[in-house]
Amino acid sequence: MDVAFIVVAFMNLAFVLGLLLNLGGLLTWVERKQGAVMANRIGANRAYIPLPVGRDPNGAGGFKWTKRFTLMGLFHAINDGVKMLTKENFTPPFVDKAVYNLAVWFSAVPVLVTFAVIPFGGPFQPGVMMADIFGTVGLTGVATTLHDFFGDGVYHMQLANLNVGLLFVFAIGSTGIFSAALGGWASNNKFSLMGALRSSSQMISYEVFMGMAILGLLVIYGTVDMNEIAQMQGESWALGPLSIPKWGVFLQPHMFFIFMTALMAENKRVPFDMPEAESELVAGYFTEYTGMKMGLFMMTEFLEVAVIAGIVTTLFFGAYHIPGVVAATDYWYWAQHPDLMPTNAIFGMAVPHALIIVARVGAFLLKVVFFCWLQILIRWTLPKFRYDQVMRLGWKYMLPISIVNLIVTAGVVLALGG
Amino acid sequence: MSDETSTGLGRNVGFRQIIDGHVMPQPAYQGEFTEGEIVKYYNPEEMTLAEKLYFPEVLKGLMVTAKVFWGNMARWAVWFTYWIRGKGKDAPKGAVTIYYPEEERPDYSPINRGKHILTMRKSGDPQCVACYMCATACPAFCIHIVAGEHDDPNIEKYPVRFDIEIDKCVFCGYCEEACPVDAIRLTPEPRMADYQRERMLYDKDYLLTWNPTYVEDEHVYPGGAPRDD
Repeated sequence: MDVAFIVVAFMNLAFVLGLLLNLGGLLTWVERKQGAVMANRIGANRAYIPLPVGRDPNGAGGFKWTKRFTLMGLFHAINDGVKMLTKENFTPPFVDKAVYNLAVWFSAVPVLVTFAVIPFGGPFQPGVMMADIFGTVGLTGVATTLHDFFGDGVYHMQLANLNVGLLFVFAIGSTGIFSAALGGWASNNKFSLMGALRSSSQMISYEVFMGMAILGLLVIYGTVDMNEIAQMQGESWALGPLSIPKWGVFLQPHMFFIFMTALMAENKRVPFDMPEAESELVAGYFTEYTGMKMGLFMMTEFLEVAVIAGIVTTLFFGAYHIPGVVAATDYWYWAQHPDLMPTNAIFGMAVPHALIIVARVGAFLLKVVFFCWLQILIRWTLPKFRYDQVMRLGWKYMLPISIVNLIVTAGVVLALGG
Repeated sequence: MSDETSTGLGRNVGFRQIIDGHVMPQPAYQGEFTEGEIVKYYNPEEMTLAEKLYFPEVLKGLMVTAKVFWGNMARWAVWFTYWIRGKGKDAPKGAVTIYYPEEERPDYSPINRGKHILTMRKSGDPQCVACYMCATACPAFCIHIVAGEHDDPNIEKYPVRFDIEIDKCVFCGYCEEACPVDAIRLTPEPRMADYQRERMLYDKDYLLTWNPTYVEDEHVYPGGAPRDD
């Protein structure tokens, strides 16, 4: 393990944390604004920073702090944070303090950790990429130094290149149940306990279908390594003049709906907000939490929206791949074409390595943002389920469909000879 | 077709009948439907297969909201091209709501019942003769008058105090209608909100701020004339 590896790891870490936390904060704004635009409203726009421009409305001379810089309501996200942090951090006297505080960590940490195995840009050569960027700008000295430092080594744009990838996602994702169950139990409140009960049964149920729904795809891919799953989706079928990428959504479109539904149920947002159910249970399992502790529960939901978007993108929508774009570092691609020289190419046109990598990270972000948008669209469109409807939808429809899909897929894969 | 159809909204038209025969009850507004016409019930009780499958309907609903979203976003994009040229105030927006209080609805009726005023004589005294008609007519009991004897023997009484608790007012306009001397009027002004309850008690001095201006050339008072007597 050399120094360059550690530097790249920290770059990845900074990118993932920066992406997730910023996206989580931004999504609070997107949630409000998108809901408003969908309902012909304007949305949150009252939080502002006063600017010393504009005349005094009373006619007195001089400039006053009258200009309100609202930036389309973006300051509401900051305002939320400040409000949560400065509110009284009240712990009710009747709670089990240790477990009560532990539940908050079980809420936020698994969500952040889950993103570690999601590849967001494919393998890349940081040395070549840096040299490209700084060479174009004209800083040849910097370019040479960085190229010498990183060398021609190929690194993954992924925090943890685990070969258990998807299993890690499920394993860590299911610890999220602890936050609801422990939080509700430790709160010693009947509403909290009911929320905890509901969330336990709902999340455990939907974890089953989530795993079952994805099994068909795993049979086709033959691996659970997120990196390899992402790589395989770079290939495509040639149907005459058309070239259809081998994305998961084209392989198993029906399972995309079921998987997405299961993930959204895991997230406990509308229409699956049984555990929180503002209209019935006050705030469900986090009724007794105040200040930033409650803020973390809320924040977790938005982080989870981003993580769900990342998982769906990786498994079903070709991860970072753009059809027709291939990098010199796509070793699996060049292994299949031993007669070709590895080049960075967009539709056969040679381009710098940095451009490919930036385009791929951009494509990944674009897909993630789209699925965040889609989830918020669903949240503002569909009415809440009743509790028995959630259970019926899961156990009586989604589970049988998933199992049948697994059997059929396995049969087809077996018939086609793996 | 059954005979019950033609009985209008009478005793035989009930829920069962609508469900069984797909018969719409004869509407109260005759002429829209011919007598005894069988109208297909517009909300069939049987769901089709596509509706039972649930997902197609969900997707349809999502299409509707997504269409509204992108339509509004396109309108906002057009608005932005105006805003960047400094014409954002007049440009059509992607929302039907407005920024109150920075913006005001342009469609307030000129006869909107809003903030009260007391009309004045040319001398500057209130027109009011403290007859208590408005206070009696007021369903919210928000008008409080203390009468006093006027120096002028022709006028008899005048209000020593005239208070309106505007936070209790329901803006029915009964005071305006009850007034025999056109002393109290409701202006179209809608903005009465305040942070302090004390300031929502309008006294005589505040209500007498209405000062009609006389346009000499046209011989009219825009907004209404004071009475001569």
